[in-house]
Amino acid sequence: MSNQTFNPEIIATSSSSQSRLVGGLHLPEHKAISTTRPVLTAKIADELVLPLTQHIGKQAKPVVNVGDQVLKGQCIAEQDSEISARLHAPTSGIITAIEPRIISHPSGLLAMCIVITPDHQDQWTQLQGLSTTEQHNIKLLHQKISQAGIVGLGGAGFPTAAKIKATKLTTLIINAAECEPYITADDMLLRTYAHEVVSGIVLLMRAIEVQNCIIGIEDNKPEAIQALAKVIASDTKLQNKIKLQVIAAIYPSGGEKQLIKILTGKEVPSAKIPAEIGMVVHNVATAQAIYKAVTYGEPLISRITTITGGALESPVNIEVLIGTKLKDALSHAGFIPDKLAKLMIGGPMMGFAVNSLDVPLIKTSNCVIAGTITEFPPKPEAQDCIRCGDCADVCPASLLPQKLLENAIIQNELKLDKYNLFDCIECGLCTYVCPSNIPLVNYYKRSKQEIRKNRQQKIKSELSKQRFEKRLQRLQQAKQQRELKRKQMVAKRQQASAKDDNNEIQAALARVQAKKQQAVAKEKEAPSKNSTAVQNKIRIDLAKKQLKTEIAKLANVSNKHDIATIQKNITMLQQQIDSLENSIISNETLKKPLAENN
Amino acid sequence: MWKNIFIQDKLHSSNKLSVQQIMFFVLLAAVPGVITQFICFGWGAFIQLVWCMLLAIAFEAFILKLRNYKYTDYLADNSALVTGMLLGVAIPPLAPWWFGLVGVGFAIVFGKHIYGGIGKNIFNPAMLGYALLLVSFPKQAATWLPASSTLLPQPSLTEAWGIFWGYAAVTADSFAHATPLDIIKNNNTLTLNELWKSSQILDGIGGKGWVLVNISYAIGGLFLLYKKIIKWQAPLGMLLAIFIMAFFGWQGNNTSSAASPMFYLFDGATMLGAFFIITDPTSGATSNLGRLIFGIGVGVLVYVIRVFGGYPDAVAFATLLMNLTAPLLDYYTSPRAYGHKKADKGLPRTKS
Repeated sequence: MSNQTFNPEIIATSSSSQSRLVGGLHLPEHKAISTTRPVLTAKIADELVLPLTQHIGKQAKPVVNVGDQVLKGQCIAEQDSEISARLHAPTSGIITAIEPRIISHPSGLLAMCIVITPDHQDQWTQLQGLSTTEQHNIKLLHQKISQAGIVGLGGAGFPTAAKIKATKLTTLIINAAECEPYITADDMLLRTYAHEVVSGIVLLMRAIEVQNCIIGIEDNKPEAIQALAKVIASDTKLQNKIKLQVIAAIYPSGGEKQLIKILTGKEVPSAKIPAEIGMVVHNVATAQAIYKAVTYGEPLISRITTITGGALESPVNIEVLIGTKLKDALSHAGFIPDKLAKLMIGGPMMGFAVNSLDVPLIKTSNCVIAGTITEFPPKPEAQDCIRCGDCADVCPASLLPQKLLENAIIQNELKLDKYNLFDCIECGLCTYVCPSNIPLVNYYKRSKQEIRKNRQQKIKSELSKQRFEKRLQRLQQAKQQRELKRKQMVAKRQQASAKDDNNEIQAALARVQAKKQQAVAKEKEAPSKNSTAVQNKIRIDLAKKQLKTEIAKLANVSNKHDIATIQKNITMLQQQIDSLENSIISNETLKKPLAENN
Repeated sequence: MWKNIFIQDKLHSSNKLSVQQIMFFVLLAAVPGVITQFICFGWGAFIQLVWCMLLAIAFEAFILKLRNYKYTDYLADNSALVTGMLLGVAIPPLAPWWFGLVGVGFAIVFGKHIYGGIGKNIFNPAMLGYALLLVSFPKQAATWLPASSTLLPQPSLTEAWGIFWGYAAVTADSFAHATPLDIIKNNNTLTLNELWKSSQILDGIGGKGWVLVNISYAIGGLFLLYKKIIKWQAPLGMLLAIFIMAFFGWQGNNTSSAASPMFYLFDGATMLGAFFIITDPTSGATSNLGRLIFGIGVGVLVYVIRVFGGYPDAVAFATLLMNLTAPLLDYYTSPRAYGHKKADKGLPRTKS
């Protein structure tokens, strides 16, 4: 290596903490075709289409109206929640529409977009960067990054402002691996703007308060490595903070979790984010965007995208405005429509095919492949799995893909869980090596969606179950309260009636007393029936009253369940009344013969 | 402008092997072994191989047709040919025509398609067919020749043809001879030295012809390993297990002693088994550790059956027995996935 011109310590090709990628495969690179020319600044297209969702999280909210004149860099859509990102006008012009357009998505569906017709003046809005002293204010840094609408430019598009909020971090990892075939955007970015990237890294380190940074880069980018090493070597402060680590070019070493393992030997626990082990991974392009945002106040309105593939005369990397349509982007590389067999956004392994040239490039579009039929031959029909195990050998997550396949076909959620379906990073290597041409990753993606859906439904049904149970409980309580009230009322009335009776009865008692004493002597086996008869009558009255109220209730209630309980109460009360009346009658009939006997 | 393209149509390797090519390479790798077998056992071996391979294609086509499969597509995967080839070289050269018919028919119909065809069989089809022949027709299954024409007369092409169809004046019995494994198995009175001196068939390690055949298959196996069509774990496990078992069972001049480790490694179907039979991915274990254990299991069983069991050779039975354990091995040898502290072994547990 010719890197001996710099301090050789800067470039580490291996270290004690470095570990090998499990699985993985060296893929045919197809990278050299797009690195022959320097980065080209793309012409401003005649129409820019900016989808409101260019990131993970909530869609941005438009703050402009159709017909508005906007300046380059002006905010046109505000972030609508914590995890969302602002959108800015990539150039000056007029908002001509806010409507659904085809977007960069495998589904080919339409989504809300802001359409700008540029005036080709390319006139900037007022920009305000941070001064050198202000750059040490963490709060201001965060604010600036958030205002610039920066998202992870490596492909996933997670809002950077939300990502840098993680605390207790120890290491910043910069992903310059760029392991997928065809893509050279990061490579060319580093060759051209290594200084800006390193400055961005320093700012990023300050923003997330870490002292260590490791840049992971694959050994197939010697120019980029040289450029980075040169910048780092120029400053001893940088040398102490930033480690440049060259790793073997094995796909998918640029996967976030894989890169962490390779560079540090540590693994991110399953279902957790790298912050769990004190690490955070950012892409090189993101670092550059942060530099621009902080120093110049420049929002994220353009990016470097690789325009490559066999259906192009001269593949190239272009610095292109967000919102540029594929046809405009492809025109910079000598597009030959007749040769086109497949149009892909992203890499050939993890990207997706689109079937319209009107699809706009978004913040995360790092590569466009206009592939020929020889590059992407139609896949032979899938055959049965012969369990050869090649997929398990290449799996970077050490899963058993053929077991996952078996269970994905029959949707056995329990076993999919056991075989760690959700640890699959969808790198596509299993599909790539399968001798039976089985599209394994598609099965996993479908299964994941299916399981996520099921789980959401489960949560939903659990919630409604809880609601139902709570309602039942409420009804029960209400019923108990009514019961209590009724009992209290009964007790009150009994007391009240007992009081009313007292005066009469006492007088009567005095009169009857004498008679009674005689009677007692005579009728020893017939105890006083009078008092019980009175009580029974009171009970009958009460029961009848309650019966009335229950019947009245019945008219007001519509719920089946309630009707049933009321009806039950009514029959119970009627039975009660009947039995009480019977007992009174039987008492009276009992008395008669006694009297006759006398 | 161009056809609607689906998400699954991604880059796929043009230099990777298809199932068809894998099976073809397995057949190709068997060529040295097959040729050596022709040389050592004469025309009978040739007739059996061709017969079995033809039968395999015929049965496969018949069953695929019955199952309403696009049989031309599936026939092209060459897997039936491999089954036919394995049976063709396993069947003794002097066996009659119906012997192969029964074996191949059972292998393809019951060993493979009853379970759902390629990739779904739990037993190695060829070994299932061969085991049926071994237990059902022990007499025909023992009609081997001495593995060299210089020792004893071998049937000519016409004689072999006649024996095959059963109309010739000569019978298989007039040529058939015990294999070295038979000789060792049936020896109770002689020490190993005496035994080797008494028998012309046991020259060298264990009959020159047999050793040559084994070496030829081993060469083919190394080719498969080089092409990464088979993985090293199962063959290594099996050969190592046989070697270690035989090493401890070898008691020099004792009359009841088993033969030397080299004898067991280079006699019978050891190398054919190690590189061509137990490496069948479908009926074997799928994890790397599982494959190793699978191989060790086969090796141990091969030795145990050869020395203590009722059959002179044991690759078929050992393979079938280990086939039974393959799903269990898979459950208990699953690798530790990224981000997990340890592997989730055993059967899945229902979460309460």
